Amino acid sequence: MVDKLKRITFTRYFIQFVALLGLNANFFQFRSVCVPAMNCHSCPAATFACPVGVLINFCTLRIFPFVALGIIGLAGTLFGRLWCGFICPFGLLQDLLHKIPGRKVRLPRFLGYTKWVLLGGLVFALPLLYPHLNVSYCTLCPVGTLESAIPWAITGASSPWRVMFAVRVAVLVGIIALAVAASRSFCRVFCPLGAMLSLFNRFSFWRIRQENLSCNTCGQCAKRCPVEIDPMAEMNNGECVRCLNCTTRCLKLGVK
Amino acid sequence: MENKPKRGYRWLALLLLLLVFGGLLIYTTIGVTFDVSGTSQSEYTVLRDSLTHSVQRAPDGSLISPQAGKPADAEGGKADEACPT
Repeated sequence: MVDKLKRITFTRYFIQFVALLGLNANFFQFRSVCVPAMNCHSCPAATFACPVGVLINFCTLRIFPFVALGIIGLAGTLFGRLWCGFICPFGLLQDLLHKIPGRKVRLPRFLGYTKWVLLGGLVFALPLLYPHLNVSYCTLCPVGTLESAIPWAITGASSPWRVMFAVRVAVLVGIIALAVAASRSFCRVFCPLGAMLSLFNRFSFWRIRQENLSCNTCGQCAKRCPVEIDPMAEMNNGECVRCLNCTTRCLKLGVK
Repeated sequence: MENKPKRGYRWLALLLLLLVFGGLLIYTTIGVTFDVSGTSQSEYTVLRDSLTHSVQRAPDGSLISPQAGKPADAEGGKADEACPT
């Protein structure tokens, strides 16, 4: 069982690091398409476009986003939130941050609705209704701050002496602090892409399934879950990021 | 045995969703073009240009490219970087 845990953890970190490099390769750019992971396309090294940024841009232009919705829908139908657990660079950062020793907290479940408010308000409604305001999710996105605003400020392409830059950095620091205390807090509370992909989690082609064995309620799967759900009771819940930690401690959970 | 109908519905739903979202991508690849400053552009081109705000809505509602007609810069027309937020 320990071997299985080590193998899956190593495989997941390996894929996450490869994805981090692949999404920020800087050797080639395919920014005409997006990948279902939070990776800011304003990052100087970004390979693909960010689906949330594309949705916002298309809402601002009032064009139906066939490509972004098609890719998110296809990705969700095939793998659900596996993208969050295995591909997303910001997910990797949160996984690493949560390893920092310190006081850990559990997040109340109702906070999960925040991402739906952000998706509806800052990704769709505001850019669509008030495009001239230039206020959207991208304005405060911590991924954009980390991968784009800070690198651009360091290289001198944009001034760091702006109120908005200070606000963005403050949001990023808050998100980082929260990620140290609560695992995958950004994914659970603030990620609009995670909200969209969670719609597909219950019935996606690739999912975690329960073997036809009785559960002895040892609770090991729930203890290892980074998004604090009970995998046996809430199999393939919308919050599940498919990290497979639960399957490493239980013979009754499998992947299909 | 009781799970069989549910499983059947799941596969049907999956197939339907694959068709819908795959169809969106195929449709936009072969059928969707936008008139940007008088030139016909695919959604993929508009998507790429929108990252650098090189496609905008004009006051009359049409799509325009503010860069259209401008000569390439002296360094050989280096591609625009996405907006530094």
